[in-house]
Amino acid sequence: MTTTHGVAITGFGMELPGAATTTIADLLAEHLHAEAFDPKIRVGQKGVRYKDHATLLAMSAGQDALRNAGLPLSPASQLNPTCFGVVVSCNLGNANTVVDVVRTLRSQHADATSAMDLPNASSNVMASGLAIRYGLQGPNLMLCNGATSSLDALHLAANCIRAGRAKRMLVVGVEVDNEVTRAFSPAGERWFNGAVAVVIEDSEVAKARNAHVRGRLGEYRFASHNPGRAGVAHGEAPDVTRHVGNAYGAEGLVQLLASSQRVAESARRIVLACGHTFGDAVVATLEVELYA
Amino acid sequence: MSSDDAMELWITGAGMVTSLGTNKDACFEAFCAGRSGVDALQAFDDARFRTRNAYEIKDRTEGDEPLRATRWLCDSLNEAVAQAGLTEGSVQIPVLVGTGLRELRSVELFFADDAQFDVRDLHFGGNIRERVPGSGAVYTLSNACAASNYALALAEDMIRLGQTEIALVAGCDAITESMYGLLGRVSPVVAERLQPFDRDRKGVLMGEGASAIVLETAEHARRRSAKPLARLRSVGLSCDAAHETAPDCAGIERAMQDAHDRAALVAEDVDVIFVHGTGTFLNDRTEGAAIANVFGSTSKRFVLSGIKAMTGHTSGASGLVGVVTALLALAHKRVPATLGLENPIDEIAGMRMPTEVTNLPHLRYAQVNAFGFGGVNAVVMLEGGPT
Repeated sequence: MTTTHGVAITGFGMELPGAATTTIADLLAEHLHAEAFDPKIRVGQKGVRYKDHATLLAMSAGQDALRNAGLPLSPASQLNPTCFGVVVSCNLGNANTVVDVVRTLRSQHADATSAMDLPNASSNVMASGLAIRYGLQGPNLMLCNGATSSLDALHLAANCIRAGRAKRMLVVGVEVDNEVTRAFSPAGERWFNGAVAVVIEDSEVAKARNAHVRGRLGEYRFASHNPGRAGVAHGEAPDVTRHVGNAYGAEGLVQLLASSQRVAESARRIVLACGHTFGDAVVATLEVELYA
Repeated sequence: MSSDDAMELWITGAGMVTSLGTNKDACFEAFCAGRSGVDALQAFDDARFRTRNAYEIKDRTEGDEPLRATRWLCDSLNEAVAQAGLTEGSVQIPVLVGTGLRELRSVELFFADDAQFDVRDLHFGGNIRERVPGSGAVYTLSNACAASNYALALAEDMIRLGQTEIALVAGCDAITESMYGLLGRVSPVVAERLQPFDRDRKGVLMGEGASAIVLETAEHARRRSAKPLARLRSVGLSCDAAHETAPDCAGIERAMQDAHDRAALVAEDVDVIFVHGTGTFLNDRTEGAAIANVFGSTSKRFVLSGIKAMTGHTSGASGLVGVVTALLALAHKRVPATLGLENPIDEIAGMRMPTEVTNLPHLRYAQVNAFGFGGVNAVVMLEGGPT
């Protein structure tokens, strides 16, 4: 049931509210939204009420990537829906819901909480929210794995394709910056607030539908107790933290998106690298080949 | 089916911690004896909730404390590693952890009670690598109540794809105040205990627990003279893509069918189904209907077992709590009864859901269901040793 086909990248997307003021914005120009994030404008009027901020950002980036990959947005017309899965990487996304509910419980009673918060209190609300919105019935994973989470997510999504569980996966990295998440930040600094997305496919499936192949995923490695990020062959993956804040569970995907905007005529190999945040002695790397 | 499917995967070690015991044998004995872990809330201010009972692990010394889920997780992993006879020599084994609520209880204590909390402890990597010998890359998968069965699927894939010969798989969850409050908030009646598949069920009550297994290729196990507790035949996955909290019959059927197909088994082969059985009105009705649809044509008298009647709903841990229970059932040829079942729901009419512990001398194939919020479904197929 496993396949030896490669894994192709066929779509990029993002939602970076207010990114125009940063240097990295130049790299991401194609996708810029200088204005504040309005989910009603970006993902439509229907079904956005009661969704938490991280889910809305993920939906917007996911929609962008599906369009970029030439895939339908409507669940009714989705291509091979049972073979189309989702992986979302996020560490802090629903912390604000959890904290808000506890504050209500402590000051009042369970009767004062909103039933609409129930799905948002479950950490996988972003991944399942994307599945429902775009009709993606394949494997659905929510990865909350610290600093390496985004590259782990790409690797596990690729494994779903290689193991024959899916033909196509939507992979999204998202983090949010708010009063609750900022309290986690060791030095009180701002987090990245936004979402980035890619569509990956079994390369034979991509070829069969004449998809524009924008890159290929290569080897993934994970190292613990390693000398540090500087010790990893860093390739040319840009240092995105300097430009967009600590992207934490989205970092590797932000690196990938930023790199994808800089491919000139020929193919380019880069090594994405994440880890060593807050002194974590772990690093994940992922080789990627990008095409013009 | 390609040749990969011939790769035999063995489970060579297991561990479990629930409200009914600090190791798997104590838990299994309690399940078979029909004991319940339900009690009044231990640490939450019960005046603030509609429900007042839960299946908690009673290990708090004073008030509440952070990182309890992490502790049980590491304990169950170490129990599994010890049984498998893994020595310090086997290093950098990947660990896949399924959890519904991560260390969000610690986040609550950090905000509401000024407890110490480091954001790196929201996922489990650092603590596992520190406390579980031989562990390497750790993946914290937060897939609601199907999380640990989903984690098992990802481990199965890594091994079948040749990325590793051995992996550790685990699940854990501690009750969060927020989830406990919200589940009570949406329940139409106040549940005092969890009654899977009973017509008079009142709803879900949360439980706490952790479970872990060692999964490796038969070849790897033989090389180090390890014995199998059971074989992992497959894990089937699906997502309903239908509703955020309500289950969908078609999505659940797809996961069961995927599990049977990947295992090259048919419904007729299955001897016991450890149901997800959360005791809510809609979940049990939907799961029962899905089982009836997939198994309807079999004449075989398979049995159903709902262990949440004893453990409560251990959220993301519950899938693997079911798997470890199934391993013990396969080894002892004995299936725990569903405590307190009086009037089975109409959907399972004609099926056997015993109210007494059942000895099954020919027990060979076990199915373990896990379904979660967001419509995430993961179904495990296990094969015991020859009778």
